[in-house]
Amino acid sequence: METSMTDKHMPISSAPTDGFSRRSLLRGSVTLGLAALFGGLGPWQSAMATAEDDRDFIALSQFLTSRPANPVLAARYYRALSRRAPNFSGNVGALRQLIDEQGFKHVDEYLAQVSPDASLKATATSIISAWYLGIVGELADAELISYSEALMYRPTHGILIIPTYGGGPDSWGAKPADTQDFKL
Amino acid sequence: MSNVVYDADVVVIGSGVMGGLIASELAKANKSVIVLEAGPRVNRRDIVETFRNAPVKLSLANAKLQGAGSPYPSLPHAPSTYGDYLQQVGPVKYNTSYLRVVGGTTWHFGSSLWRMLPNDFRLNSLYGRGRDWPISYDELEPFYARAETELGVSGVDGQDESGQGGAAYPPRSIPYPMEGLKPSYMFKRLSSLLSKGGYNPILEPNGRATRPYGKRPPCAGNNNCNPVCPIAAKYDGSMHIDEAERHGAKVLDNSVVYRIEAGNDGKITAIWYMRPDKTQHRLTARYFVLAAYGIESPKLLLMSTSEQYPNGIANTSDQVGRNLMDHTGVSMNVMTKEDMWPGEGPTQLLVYLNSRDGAFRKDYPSYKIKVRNTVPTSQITTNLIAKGVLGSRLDEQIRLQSARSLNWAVDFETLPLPENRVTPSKTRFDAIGLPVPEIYYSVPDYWHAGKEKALEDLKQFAHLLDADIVSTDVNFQNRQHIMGTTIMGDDPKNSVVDRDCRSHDHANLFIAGTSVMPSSSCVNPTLTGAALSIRIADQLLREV
Repeated sequence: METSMTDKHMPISSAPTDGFSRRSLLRGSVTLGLAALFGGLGPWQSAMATAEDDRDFIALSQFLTSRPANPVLAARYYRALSRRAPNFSGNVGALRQLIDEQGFKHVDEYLAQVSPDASLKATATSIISAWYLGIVGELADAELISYSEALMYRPTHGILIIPTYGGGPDSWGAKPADTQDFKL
Repeated sequence: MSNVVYDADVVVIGSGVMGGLIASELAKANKSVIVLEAGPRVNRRDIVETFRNAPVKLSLANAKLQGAGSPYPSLPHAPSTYGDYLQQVGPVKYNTSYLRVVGGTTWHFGSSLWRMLPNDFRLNSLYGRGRDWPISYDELEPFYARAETELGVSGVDGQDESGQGGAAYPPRSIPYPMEGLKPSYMFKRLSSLLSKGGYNPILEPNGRATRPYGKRPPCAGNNNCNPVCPIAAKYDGSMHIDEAERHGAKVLDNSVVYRIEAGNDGKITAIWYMRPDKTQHRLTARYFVLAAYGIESPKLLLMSTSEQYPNGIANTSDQVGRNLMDHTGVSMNVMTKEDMWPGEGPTQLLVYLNSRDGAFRKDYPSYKIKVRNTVPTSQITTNLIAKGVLGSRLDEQIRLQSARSLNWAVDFETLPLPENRVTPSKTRFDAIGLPVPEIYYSVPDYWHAGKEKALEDLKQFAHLLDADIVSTDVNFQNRQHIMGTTIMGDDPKNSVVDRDCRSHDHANLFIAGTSVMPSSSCVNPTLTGAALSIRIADQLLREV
């Protein structure tokens, strides 16, 4: 179920264990650079995606989460989300178009809209929820896409571990330093 | 009788820590032992992988989904206790979650391994509440020491575990087998702040290795004691089952014991078990040990009715299944104004036992206050997104709430009340036709008096920590500590087993585990059950 082996070869993944490192920073820069080269349309574009839908979804995911989107996970989130919402694919396109037209540079600008379209907001929320929790769907219908790569672990990375991925014997005890998150 | 051929010297029903300890002691002394387990064998690698891949990880919050939230299998012949397997018929839910797998419930226990205090054995004579034990702390002490060595307990020597901040207590014949775990930053900070209010910090003795111990590596802070330690640093019952098997014991998994048979002389002659295909099998032995934990053990005894034993096996006292206890608790969530960072290192450790013992136990129960130390990320993020918190604010709030929201929980001593009981259901059956457990549980005024006292402490905690109280839950939280249902005593008229854990009614039947405890104290009962189990093994070795 996990894609960690694949992730290591993906240029835009920042592995949860190495945190805010020069390497992950470089990865992000490379991604943005490639996106600009290949897509030429905006900072959210990923060069790794081929199909139009995938490209839209990766770009939108990066915009909504302010983090690089792993394309392997993105493809799986996309499939899982569109299976559960018939209007999903259309809304992804519409959201991208809206963000383009309004010139939103950051997700907070999108969220600051006074009266957002409710259907599009629900789609945006479902995408953020999926990437953060690593899960799509509710209760009995829930499907795990990623555990260790769920974005919810990033804001506390460097202090709190992902359960079962401990830091080793006696790796706790000192006053925690700053968290090591990396954002676009 | 000497010409009779038996299937084994000893048959042990249940493959958890208690059954495993006894089986390994006997097997090491070259006794032939068969251990029966209702559930399957599991291996750590699979359980860890299942846990990581599970979409639902908050088991208790999602208990409606049968088996969901627990990475342990739920099988038709051994249904998971997560879900509706346990039939609740009393005013208070007793939603416990023991595991029916080889190795038993310690696979997912937090691993606190406490000794009780000498006064816990004399609750009735000292405080006029509950029952006295027929044995004293001093009699059990050598077995506590052996149990600590067997289970590999790490702890802090020199602590006053009675919570008064005095000299080392209770008396010990050995130091802790391993030194204590390193405290996290939060534990140190909380200890410092709360000591200003006279609260004495105690670090719990527990089953996590702090140096290589047998085959166990030291704890690596995976923060996943429940539901599974990924590296076997934490003790679980499968370790003694493995040891028993290495010394020749036979373990029959997926074998559900459903009947115990007694002869005319009162001795147990055989047990019957069913396989998943419903085939029925009989095993004979010189001695029998029932170690199926506090719900399944009494259920099996009560199911084993006959003309001679219309109330079931070992039940002439009518006490089998009664006196069900727990450490029924409450909790409080607070937000501090400084970063504390719960969730670093292993789960648990810091507790307060200022109200562990004293004359107050005439009026209200002993209690333990503990701070949760599990990584809170998933719960916090789920709640934030449900509230519509997104964008930069989502990241900020995940960080802030993770660092500052603390959960304080209280475990209360409960009393052995005959009306609180386990019985085999007359109306609901599992997939192989065996009755599921029916549980009646209630909470008396004595508990409520303790709750009021503990809430005062919790308010004082919030004050000392300069924290805001976010919520308080007084809704009888189950603490998964099943006790009392095959209670120990000197009088065969009001107890099930004698001071040696031997059935008053059947000379070759012993009952092992926390179900024999006449008082619950306020601390986790596993080590006490383990000490009693080693004592049973010694007795068996003298007789078998």
